[in-house]
Amino acid sequence: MSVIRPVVRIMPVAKVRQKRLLPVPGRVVVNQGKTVKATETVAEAYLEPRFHLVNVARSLGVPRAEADDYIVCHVGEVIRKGDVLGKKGGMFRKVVNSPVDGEVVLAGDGQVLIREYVSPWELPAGFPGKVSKVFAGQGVELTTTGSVIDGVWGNGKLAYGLLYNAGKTPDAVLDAAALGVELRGMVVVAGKLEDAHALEVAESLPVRGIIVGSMPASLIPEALKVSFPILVLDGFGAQEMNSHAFRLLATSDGRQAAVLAEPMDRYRGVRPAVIIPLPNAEMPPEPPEAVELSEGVTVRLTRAPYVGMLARVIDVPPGLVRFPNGLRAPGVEVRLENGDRALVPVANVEVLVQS
Amino acid sequence: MATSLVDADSLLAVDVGNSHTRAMLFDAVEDRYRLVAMGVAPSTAYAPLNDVREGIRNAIDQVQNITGRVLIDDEEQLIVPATSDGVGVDQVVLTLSAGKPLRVVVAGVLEDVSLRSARRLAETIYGRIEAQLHLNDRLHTEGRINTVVRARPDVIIMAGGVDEGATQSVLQMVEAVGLAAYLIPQGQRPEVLFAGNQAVLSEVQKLLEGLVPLHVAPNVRPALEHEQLGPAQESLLQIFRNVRLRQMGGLQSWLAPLTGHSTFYPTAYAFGRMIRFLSRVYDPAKGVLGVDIGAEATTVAAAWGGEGTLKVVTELGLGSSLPDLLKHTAVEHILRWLPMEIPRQQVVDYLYNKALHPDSIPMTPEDIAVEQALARQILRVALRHAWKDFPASVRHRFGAQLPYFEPILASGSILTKAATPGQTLMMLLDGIQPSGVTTFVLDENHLLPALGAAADINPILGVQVLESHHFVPLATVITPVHHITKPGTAILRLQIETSSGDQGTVEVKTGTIRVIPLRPGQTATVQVQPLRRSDAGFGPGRRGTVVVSGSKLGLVIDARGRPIVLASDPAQRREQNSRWLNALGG
Repeated sequence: MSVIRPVVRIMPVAKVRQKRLLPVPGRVVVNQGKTVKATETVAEAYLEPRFHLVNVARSLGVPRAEADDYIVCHVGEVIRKGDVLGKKGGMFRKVVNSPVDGEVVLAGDGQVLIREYVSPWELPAGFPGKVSKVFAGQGVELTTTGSVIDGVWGNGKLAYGLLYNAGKTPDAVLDAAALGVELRGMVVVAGKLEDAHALEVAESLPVRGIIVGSMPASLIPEALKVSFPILVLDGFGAQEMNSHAFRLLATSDGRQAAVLAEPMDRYRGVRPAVIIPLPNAEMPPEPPEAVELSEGVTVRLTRAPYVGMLARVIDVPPGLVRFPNGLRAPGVEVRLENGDRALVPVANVEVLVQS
Repeated sequence: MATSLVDADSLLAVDVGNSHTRAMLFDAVEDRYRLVAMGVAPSTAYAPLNDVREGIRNAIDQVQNITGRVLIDDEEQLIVPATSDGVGVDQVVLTLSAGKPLRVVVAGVLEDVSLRSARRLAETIYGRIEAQLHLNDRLHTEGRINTVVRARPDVIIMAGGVDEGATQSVLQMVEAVGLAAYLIPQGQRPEVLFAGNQAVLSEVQKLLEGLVPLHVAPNVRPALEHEQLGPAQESLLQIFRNVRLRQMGGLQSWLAPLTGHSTFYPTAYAFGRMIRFLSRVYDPAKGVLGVDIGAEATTVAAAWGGEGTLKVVTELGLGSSLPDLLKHTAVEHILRWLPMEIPRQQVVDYLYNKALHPDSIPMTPEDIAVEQALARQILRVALRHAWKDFPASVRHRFGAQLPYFEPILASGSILTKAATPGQTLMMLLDGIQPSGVTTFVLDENHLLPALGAAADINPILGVQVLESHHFVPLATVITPVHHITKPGTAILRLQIETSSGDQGTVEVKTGTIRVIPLRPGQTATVQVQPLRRSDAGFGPGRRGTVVVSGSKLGLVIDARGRPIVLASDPAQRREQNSRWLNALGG
């Protein structure tokens, strides 16, 4: 039986396809085939729609059954705050006004329901590219050529800016002392984050974004509060950045990069990533979405004692393998970067796509 | 229970989980139903495929390869019913736990009465309650409209008003729900289940029919002291099916050609149904308990004499929902189960990393210890949730102590695929903390949901497969309940006579776990003599006799007391955990 595993992209040059999806259903505002800039809106949605129910009958002091005779607005009408919704003449003239700018969505039974006008939340493209697919009401798929590195966690923000490698090694810590004023407006790359103070300093500069191999999970609440994107490439804890990603980011120093620090969503196929557009690259390969495990395939190991390490597949034994700790599971034999051999569960590897 | 097959229909059970898809072929072998073959493949409900059919096909392929039986034709269709030359299958059942939890809004009149019943109903499926509306929510109609619209529900469950009780407040709630539904674009509108005061049914239908897919069911709270979830649960099942058929790629088209030969249930419901069935078979004085720790949810099903409770906790799973565990419990409550020193931060990092790679497997002793500590705490929390729904008579009799259950069935790979039976039992004992005499049985192949789903169309199959070797007895555990805090005090004396004629007397002391090996096939008669008025399930200080069947571990006496009190000193606590695990063989 073939063993198919999900892929993680760490590619210097590739045809990059990336989904850009709204968090809630909304409206796509670009057509397939359109070329978009990083800041251009591709879709929009109302994250928190606000409705106002105005009880005209009560305000006019008339029975609900009779109140419709006094309602002067109609469904679909655009109204401004203060516009008259209902009125009653006579000696004691009474008027009911709209509390907000909006649109009448329902009028009757003595009540008027108004959708308050609020600006929609806009989803930017995030990086320059071409709209290759439109998912009606949800978002788009954008395509570009360039470098791409998949991450594992993002704080929900995104930015486009110049990469600045703040650490000389994959295990360099991004601490407050490393965050000098020269990093203002930069997308800062480092091996790992360790404390919240560094985030405070980064916010005060501010930086454009942060890309690290790892950070402690306890930093998540602080990471969610900052205004810039934080992208974690390898996992939570204090592990160094994987060597391929580090090399690629180090050699891309000074280039424009899109940090798409979206939360991973396996249901919708969204994964955080950094994309470095290289518009002039010729005929780059398109990464597959899943790959069969076989000899020679490069994998990233996801669990201790090899977490974050890269390795090459030597063998995929059939059936279940009994591991030294007594567990039985499908296994794969790999050679680590340091030359050691290891037998690991198939479930603990991701296929690395490099070119 | 011997049963003979008159008309043996073969059955293919498919279970689509968040991590794996299983296909199980059952057929008559020598006049009895057996599990003939099983295939397991990664689920493909998610990106990049977003189509369950690929995973189902791969799992069925394995069954075909194992049996040599052709189940799928040249046009990639499952052959149903079977032909006279043994090609295809007669019946198909599908159970499903994959997919994001359904977004649920619950509405009732009184928070502690009808709303509570609506919540309980919602917790019998894979759902997440996004918003709750009730009379005292201080929202008024406008606030309720906004709450519902922003919740983007898949389903709204409306209860409220005992029969011949409140009508106006129920209708106010219905009106708000109707207005909210009107504002949600067509195609995104929720299915609505009304299970409240039946006196307003015609008005509810007038307000909601044509606006939303409306389901009506008998009142879940016909009287203040009377709750009936059963009929509404059937309606909720149909809603679950409708939503999943709409949302999940490939499901509709896979099931469509099987119409008339297939059934489809949420895995948890089918699991609960089987537990209910078993409670009719076993000692009516005790209940039957089933626990299933999945990747995205934990299910607790308990039943007494055919009546049961079902609790699906979608925030408790060992997959991508793992960080949600911290909403229910403090990290310290996880750390307390560790037999070795592992820093707090490392455990928190573990939770989040596991969520990133939900199907990954722990390999180091530290990771295994953390994962098994998580399983213990998930069971503790899930049982705490489930206990609230146990029948009042049971809760009153046992107080905070877990009621007597015989047997307790355990499912989920963390429990059934542990490296040693001792590790499995340790997780179950710490997590469930049973009392009295109980037998732990492992559902190693996750068969219970399949049998529960098949019960409609083939009840004999369930009975006969249950009698087969596919359910693995893990241990019979005697737990004396006592209030003696001093460790090392004799608490129980056992006189044991095995079927092979061996005899012996064993005295068990507080704070210990003792194992008396009894292999499968052996039996032993055990006379239980509680000391110091401890209660081993026969009443304080009362003696009793039990006949114990052999199992993986045999007879185990857990004399640690209930609840288990762990040492406050971390080093001592680790030593305790380690000693108890070693007592079970490590």
